[in-house]
Amino acid sequence: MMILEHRLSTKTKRGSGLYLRLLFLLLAAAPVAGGLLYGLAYSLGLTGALSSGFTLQHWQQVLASGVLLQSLGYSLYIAFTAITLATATALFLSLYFQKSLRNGSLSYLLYLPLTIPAVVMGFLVFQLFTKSGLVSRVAYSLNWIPGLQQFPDLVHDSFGFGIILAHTLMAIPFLTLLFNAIYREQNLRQLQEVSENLGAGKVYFSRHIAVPTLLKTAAPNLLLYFIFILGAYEVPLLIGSQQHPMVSVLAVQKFQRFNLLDIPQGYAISVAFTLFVLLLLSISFKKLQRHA
Amino acid sequence: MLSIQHIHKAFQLHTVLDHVSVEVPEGQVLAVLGRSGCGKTTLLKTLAGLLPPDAGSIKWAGESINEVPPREREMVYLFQEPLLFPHLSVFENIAYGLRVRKTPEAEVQSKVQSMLRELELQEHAQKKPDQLSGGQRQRVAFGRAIIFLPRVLLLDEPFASLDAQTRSAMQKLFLRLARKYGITALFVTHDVKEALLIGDRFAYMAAGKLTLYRSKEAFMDDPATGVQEELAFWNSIEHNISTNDK
Amino acid sequence: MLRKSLTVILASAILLPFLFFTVLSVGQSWFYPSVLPQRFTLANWQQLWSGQSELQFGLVRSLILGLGVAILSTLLGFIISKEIALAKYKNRWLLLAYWPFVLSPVVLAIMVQRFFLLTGMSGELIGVLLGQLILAFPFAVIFFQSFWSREVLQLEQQSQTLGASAVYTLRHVLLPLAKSLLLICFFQTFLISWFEYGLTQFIGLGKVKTLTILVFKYVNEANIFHAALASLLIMLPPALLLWANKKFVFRGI
Repeated sequence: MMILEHRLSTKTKRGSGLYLRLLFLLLAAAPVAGGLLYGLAYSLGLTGALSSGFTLQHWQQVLASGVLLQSLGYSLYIAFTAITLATATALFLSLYFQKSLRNGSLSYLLYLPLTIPAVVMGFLVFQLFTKSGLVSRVAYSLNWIPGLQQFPDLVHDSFGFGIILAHTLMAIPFLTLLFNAIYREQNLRQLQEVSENLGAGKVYFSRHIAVPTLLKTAAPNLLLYFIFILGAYEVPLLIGSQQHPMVSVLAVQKFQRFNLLDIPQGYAISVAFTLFVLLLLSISFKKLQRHA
Repeated sequence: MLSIQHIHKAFQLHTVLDHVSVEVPEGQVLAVLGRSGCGKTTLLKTLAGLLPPDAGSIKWAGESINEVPPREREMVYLFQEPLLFPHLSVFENIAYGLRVRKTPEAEVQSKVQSMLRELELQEHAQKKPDQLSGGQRQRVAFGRAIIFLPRVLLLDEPFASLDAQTRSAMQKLFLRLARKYGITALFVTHDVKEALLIGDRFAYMAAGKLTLYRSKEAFMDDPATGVQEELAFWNSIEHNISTNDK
Repeated sequence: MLRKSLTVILASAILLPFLFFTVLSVGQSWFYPSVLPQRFTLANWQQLWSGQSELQFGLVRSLILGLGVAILSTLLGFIISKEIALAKYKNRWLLLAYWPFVLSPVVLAIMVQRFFLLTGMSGELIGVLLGQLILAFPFAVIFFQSFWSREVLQLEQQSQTLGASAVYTLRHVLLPLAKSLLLICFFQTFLISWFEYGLTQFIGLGKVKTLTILVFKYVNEANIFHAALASLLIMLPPALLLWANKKFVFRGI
């Protein structure tokens, strides 16, 4: 009832609101919707330099060659592995370092990695883990390896070690701070006192109360982060494997081959990926709203 | 005189104000008794211009003010909770209506100082709202509303959240200020005693319909208002005590 | 004891990138298997101050873009978020706001690049600004949803019935109340622009050389010393601001 009243109260100044909504549509929805339509038209041969009327040929090529599905599968594998590792580590850190996160040295330090963008993280992981990187040099000077050839392939490898590592490293501080914020908001400290009062140990509390609460409350953010990694571009471009491009990289590749016939495929991949992400989003949007 | 004629308001299919008509002469307080959900908040907000009515007219001194925006109506709506501006001091909260009207600084100072004295809040002038008690906050909200002498005060159960003692002190303060400044007001409450104490005229509201009474006696006699029930309760207790004494 | 040593390890891991890049940025040659560079020089840093260098231009360009995107998206986001918060189908509107926000920026860039080509904004600073605005503005709209609570809306109404105009209410009630949120949003939208690479590269056609574009360029040229310096230039300003007040930077979405 009260909410209804609020809504009605704004109707008194209708005019300006309409322009604001139009501006919102123009800046937020129109680029995605318009781009999607244009991309769809291009991939169906309806527009573009080489268009010759409606055709499913480009979609067939993208789907039949398996290049899109392979790349999507690879991206899902990378995103899933990275988010799982990061979540596990962040859960451990936020519970284990509860005190120093609250007011100790870590309360400032943990914010620092948030100043590292994906490009820089890709560069960093490369400089650390490439065959001639810092880790290899330290290993050599400690006589662990006889030469740089013996250092394992950790970047540009098909398992995506480098990409997963870079994204895990970027996600850990963010998720740790997020869990820490939830820990405070949900009054988990008081709950722990209650639980200890009832005779439960620290580990029991963590396993049965803290972890489920943190995961449940953070679920929408974890999903958003998963989608971010799914569309990752900079890191796989820098340290990904040549044979297994992630979706964003694959899409851009199609535009940069200077083969005009590849461009409709690039659009098809972009459209397919966009629809996939929007589908994921709308499935989970109700949950997102509850926690936003 | 504030004159309301056949105000009608519905939210979708739910009628909230059902052809409400009432008149409040200048300088008088109309006490409106009603339980929560009877439509009283909607009535006050409509009068303040915060909600547009579906039909009917609102007149002040014979002229329609339906189209006058809230800020030019000079009808101050007082929310149930004292909504003070949290970032402004007590002094600046009270001065708000004067500052909005570009009153000269000297006048602002003297008016606010005398209002603070009136409300017995002098020593709190520089405090922020979150440092005040509930009763003090309600007093500030009061002072802020009457300092620029608006046409009408619209009070939405202003004392409902206060404890009994503070509440009775606030009722006395309201009566004193209402007389002193000749305030015209609609005072909505669900408390029969408060209505009787504060009103010059009386009305009862239920399910969007408003009944106006000719006199205090008519208000007390109507079983719907619950005055008789209350009287019967106290009478029976008195009776019990006197029989026990014997 | 275990906790202490773990804290030390964690702290060193956090500081490592800063230290590593600082060392590299003053390095000149770094042959295997030496752990530290063989020769050190301040030339890279001096170039930055002595004007007309690519890095200096990149820094200024990134700053202009970041400030422009932050100012526009924070202001527009603040105003429009209210309209959305009060909308009848609020959740549907918000779903739209999530669209560009969850999409990979480079994929978005691919799909809208035709528009930028047609309007002649490809390869121009203004085009990149608009492109980044498409990412940052919906974020701001979502960000400010929590501000328009019942209490704030009632305060606004209270101000109205006390006789204040919409502009007066905005200046003296709404903006002061939203101050800290405005600052956080400003900083976060600044970072969205400051960190952006994919869309900037695609719409800027590589001609709008921001710091992130330069990092990539130096990496491709195998010029790790300049890449490290550019990376530091990206990381240091927000790190310093964080030090000044971490509250401005982080807030769960």
